[in-house]
Amino acid sequence: MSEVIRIKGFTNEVLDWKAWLDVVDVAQATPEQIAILEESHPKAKVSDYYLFLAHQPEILRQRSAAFNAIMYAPGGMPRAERELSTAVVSRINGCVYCASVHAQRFEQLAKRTDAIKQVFEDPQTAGTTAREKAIVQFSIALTEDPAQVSAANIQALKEAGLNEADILDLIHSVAIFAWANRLMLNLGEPVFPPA
Amino acid sequence: MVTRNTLNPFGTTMTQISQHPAGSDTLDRILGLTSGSVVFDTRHQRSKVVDATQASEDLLLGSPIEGLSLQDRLLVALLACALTPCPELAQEYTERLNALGASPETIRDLSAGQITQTLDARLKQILLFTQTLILDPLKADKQALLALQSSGLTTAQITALAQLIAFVSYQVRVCAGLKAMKQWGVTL
Repeated sequence: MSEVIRIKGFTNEVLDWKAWLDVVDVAQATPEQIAILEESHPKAKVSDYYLFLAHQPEILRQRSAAFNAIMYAPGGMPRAERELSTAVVSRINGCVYCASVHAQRFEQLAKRTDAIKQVFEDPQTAGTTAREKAIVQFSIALTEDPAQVSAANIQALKEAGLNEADILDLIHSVAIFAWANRLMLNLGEPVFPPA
Repeated sequence: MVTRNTLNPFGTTMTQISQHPAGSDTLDRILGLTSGSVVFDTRHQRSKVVDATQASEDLLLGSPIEGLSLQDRLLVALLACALTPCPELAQEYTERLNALGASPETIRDLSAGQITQTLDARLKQILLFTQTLILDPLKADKQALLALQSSGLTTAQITALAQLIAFVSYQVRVCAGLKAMKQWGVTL
């Protein structure tokens, strides 16, 4: 991380997250729970988030399958752009924890932080290029009012240079963060590093 | 059934088969997406996402979950779809509720985004939690989880409920996005 960003309550710092209710004790976990934690995330066995979701292991397995296929699959929309869209969704939904994680991922992939600073400052005007602005606008629209998304929104993405495969990946990225943000916001809270 | 043949490095043919037979994918069915169309073929290039989406729905809105009846889970899904709104999925979950013999009055109220006042306290608490998560996820706090506990839900049941509501908020957006892609193709 090249510089610490703190704008309007959002940050690119590494945060922790604490569950509000009891999490699964790894020492007491079933072999199925352990297997699903391991396939969900490299650090899942020390993460309150995954240890909470492990109360329903099969549901966690399918969530992780969808999440990992959407965020990490090769081809289609570049991964940095998927991270940008998820940072926008997290900013709109007010998920400080998710926004910090995906701000870090964007920087790792894109080697810059300008677009993330813009998203934290004012998502409505964010984007350093016409293509980024189109991705940001679509992410806001599908997050805030999915019923109003229409052919005109797809046309705007086409005009910015996205093809069908890119657009599908963008829809999936925005949608999976409607899911992820709700879990992170409603099952626990971010823990900030000591000042 | 989606079948894709790819050559592996050893020169033999591998077949990737979707886990779900034709017609069993909810989003393809309710949006009328069929093999050979641009939207269907684009969508099924990401077969792992298609499969995990349907498998999640099957687990959350099909399989038994201890302490959360299928009818109650479908009522949660219906309210979430009505509040979003997502008419296509609201219609789908209404049909499943009708097939289970759910109260027409409750279905009517939830379809209008209203929680029927005569429902039992536990179900009302579940539906209030649904309303908050769908409309204003920032407002759901620790107190909301403790209220669910006070209504008799275990941590495992709260986990399933939170996953269900969050999943539907994902599914309605995939539905809206695919529908817009299909409309764009038609208006070319």
